[in-house]
Amino acid sequence: MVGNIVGHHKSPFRGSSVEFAEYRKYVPGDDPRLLDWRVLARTDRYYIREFEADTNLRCYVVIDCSKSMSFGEKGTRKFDYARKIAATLSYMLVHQGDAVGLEIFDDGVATDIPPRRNPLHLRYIFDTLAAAEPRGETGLVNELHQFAERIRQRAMVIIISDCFCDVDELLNCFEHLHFQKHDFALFHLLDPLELDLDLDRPTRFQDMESNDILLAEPEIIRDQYIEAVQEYLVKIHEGCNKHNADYRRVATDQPYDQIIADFLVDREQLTKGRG
Amino acid sequence: MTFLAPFATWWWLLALLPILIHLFNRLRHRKMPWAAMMFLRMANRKSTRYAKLRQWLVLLFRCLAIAALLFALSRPLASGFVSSMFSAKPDVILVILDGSASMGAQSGEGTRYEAAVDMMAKAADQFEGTRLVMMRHNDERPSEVKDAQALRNLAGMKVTDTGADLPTLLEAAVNWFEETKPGRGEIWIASDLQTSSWDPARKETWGQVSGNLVNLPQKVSVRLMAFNQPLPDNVSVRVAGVQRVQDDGVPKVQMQIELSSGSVLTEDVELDVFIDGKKYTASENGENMGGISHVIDTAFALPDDRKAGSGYVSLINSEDGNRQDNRAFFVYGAPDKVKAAVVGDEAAFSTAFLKLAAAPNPANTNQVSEVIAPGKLETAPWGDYAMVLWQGALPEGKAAEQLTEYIKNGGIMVCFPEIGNVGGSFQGVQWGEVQRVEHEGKQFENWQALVAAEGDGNPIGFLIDNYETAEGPFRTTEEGLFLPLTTVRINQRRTIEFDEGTVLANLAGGEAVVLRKNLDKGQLYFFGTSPNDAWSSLTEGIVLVPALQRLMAEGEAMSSGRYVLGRLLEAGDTGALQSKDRWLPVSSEAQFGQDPFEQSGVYRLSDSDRVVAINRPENEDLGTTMNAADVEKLFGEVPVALTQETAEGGSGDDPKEIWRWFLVAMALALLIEGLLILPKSADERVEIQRSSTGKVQTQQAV
Repeated sequence: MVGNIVGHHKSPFRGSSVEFAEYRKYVPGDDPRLLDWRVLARTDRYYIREFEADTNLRCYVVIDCSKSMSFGEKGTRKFDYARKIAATLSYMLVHQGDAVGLEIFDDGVATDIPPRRNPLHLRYIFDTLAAAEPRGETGLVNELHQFAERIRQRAMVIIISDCFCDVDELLNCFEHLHFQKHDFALFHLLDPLELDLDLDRPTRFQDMESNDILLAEPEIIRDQYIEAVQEYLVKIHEGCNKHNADYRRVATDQPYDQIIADFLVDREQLTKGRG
Repeated sequence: MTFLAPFATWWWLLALLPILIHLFNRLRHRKMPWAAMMFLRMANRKSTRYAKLRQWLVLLFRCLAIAALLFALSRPLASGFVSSMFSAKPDVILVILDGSASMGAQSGEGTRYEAAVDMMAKAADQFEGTRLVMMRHNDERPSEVKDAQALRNLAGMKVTDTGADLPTLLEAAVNWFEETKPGRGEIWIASDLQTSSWDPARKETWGQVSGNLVNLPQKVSVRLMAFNQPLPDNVSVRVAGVQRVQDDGVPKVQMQIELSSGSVLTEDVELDVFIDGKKYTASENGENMGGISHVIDTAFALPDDRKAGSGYVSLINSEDGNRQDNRAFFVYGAPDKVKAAVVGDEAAFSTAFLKLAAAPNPANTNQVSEVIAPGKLETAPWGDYAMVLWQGALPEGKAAEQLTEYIKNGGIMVCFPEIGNVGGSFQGVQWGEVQRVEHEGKQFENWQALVAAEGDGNPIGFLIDNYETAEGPFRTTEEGLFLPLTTVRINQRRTIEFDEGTVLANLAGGEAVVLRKNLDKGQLYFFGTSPNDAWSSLTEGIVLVPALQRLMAEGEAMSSGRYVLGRLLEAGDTGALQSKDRWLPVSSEAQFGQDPFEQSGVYRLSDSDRVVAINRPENEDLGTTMNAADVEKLFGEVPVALTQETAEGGSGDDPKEIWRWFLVAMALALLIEGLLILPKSADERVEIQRSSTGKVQTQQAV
């Protein structure tokens, strides 16, 4: 992790921590203070002794706040679920000394809170999350592009969205984030009903974002619907894999604590793997 | 189909319940905000026709299930051809319609024939897609029929005045199946089972019909619609005899009108008699009758001295069981003579002898004979003669053709040899050389000289050694009297050269002296010697006269081709009537038939003034019918389904409750509906992979 203060996360750079990393041959330009004099005395060779540098984490939690996120029963809406994930992760990060920022998108940037690490900032994030309500059409693609450009320093980006937008354009965003060397994860939120279309009688569907109407018989079109959803999910999953993103498909009837716990365990294993 | 527990009409609307529920469901659709609209649109586009069709099929089978249940609850009864619909569909149905006169009997509102055609057409309607072929009783050629309506059109609604020959029709039907091999078939027969039409005595034909049907490579079964209920109120009218007589100077037509019925005649009968367009009446009191047949002998005075005419007798009874047999046609006039023709030189002795032998007593009998000179052969009215006696060279050219046709129509021709030109071959027979008796180097002038030369010694000359006494002109009578053919002395003879024929008399060496050759209905005889003293003792008359008389009587009896007054002609008798073109109806009135091959009436030969009455065959009036079980036996091992005419008209066998069929149908409909809505198996079902942690494995996603 790249940070500007000392923290809990391993930095990609060598630094001044107590943990030995490796020996390296001295090359002109290296600080002579770093020479291992004992080795020089014994072997007459110039080696530099390197140590792991510990740094802090800059994390951006990005929440899709378009109207489609309000789908679901009251209390189990996708947006409610997104709030819980965002709040939990923010709390844990701040309490381990990392900086957390919050980006809420609807059809534009609704809220942009830069990363901070003090507890008061956490309070500010909670209040913002509590006040936010889904509205408008999805502007996820445009906003992610702008976000990728705006954040110059490498950071961790956690995206929480239903991703109901053009898949190819969304994958371009991921590519953009990857190009900017951001470490990002996607919590793909879906309501169980959206996955199964478990409805048994003719229904007049109204688009939550555009208000378009479609009369359909779920019993007749269910198979085709599920095939379309499946195709879309696979495409997103493959895109995430391609750009080294951590992809989490989350149905809103799943316990969010287990989702987060699993996510954190995987992150830790990933960090050890790098070490 | 009838029902034991019929529902009111509106009950049947319950069958539409699934459709109503479906429509109601569509109306009460709910409104739902939806986020994943992009997938719904995609799915709606991709939704296949099959999915929609399946939805409608489900609906249809639900309706059918309810309809079947309603049918079962109403306890339907099926009989006859309706119940046959539940059997497997044949590839071809051959319909045989008996439209003979007896099928004109009343059956309910119309005639039996109308009921039969209607029933056949209705049944055929239920077999859409099955090939339909029809045969009418008077045509052995099967006709392809497009559909039930075409069957009605082709069958018509009127019966003919002809009889029916079911064995022959069925033979033709079996031949058709053998030749065309149309697949699994059924033969539907509508008939009144009249004994004369079915002719159970023709056991050999029936054996062949049933055997061939069983041996057909494809399965062929028979459905028999029997209209054989008795007709208690039916009276048939027939003219048994008619003569023009002079009664005290008044010209009259004396008639014997025969009434017959299937039961004892007890009701008064009134008749209209039309003679040359003038109406007369006749009646008979029921008390005077009492049997199943009765003859009314009556006479009608003619308005003038006309010698001949025609008319018909008609029964006045609108309630009669069969109106088709209420009319009989007749012609009257001076009685015809039985005529024989002698061809030869009028001056010759043999000609005179033969003329006398053919009609020994013209003044006191109805036999006459005429001599036809060899030069007038082509204009001779051969059809008027019961027998033709031919001398000399055998006929050639047009005369040969005319005489061949005459014989084939039932004529008798007897040929005698002459000295001189022998002519060519006639019907494969020709004269050979003349042979004369020669005894001790001496020939004889006549047979008497021959007899004188032999004295008391052994007979000399050509002696007849053997002759046919069981049948033919030389047959021995029942009393044991025989013709002494062996006593005939032959001084001179011609050999008879032939390929085929029956030798009725031969010499000791086996050489034929009398030969017979059959040609269709007629017969051709060759005598090897002539009634002339120079030839033989046939001039004695003891052999030749009775032989010729017998032949003349036989010719008169066969009389085909000759339309003498009083001869009974039957409608549709192709043998007697020969061709339709020969006949013209004498009247265009509706009562008079216009087609001798189908309708009774009075007709005139197109090339002469001869008028004949044509009536329905006598068998059609007999009214004896077979019972269905006996008819079934005629078909042997061929499966026969029987439908019996009911008293109310139409047909029906023992009606059967078929509600079980409808329960089966309902179960089937529900089963199919269940299969259509059966959820997909776990393997087929499309499901989206989910994990409790949200983590998606790569292999799961694909």
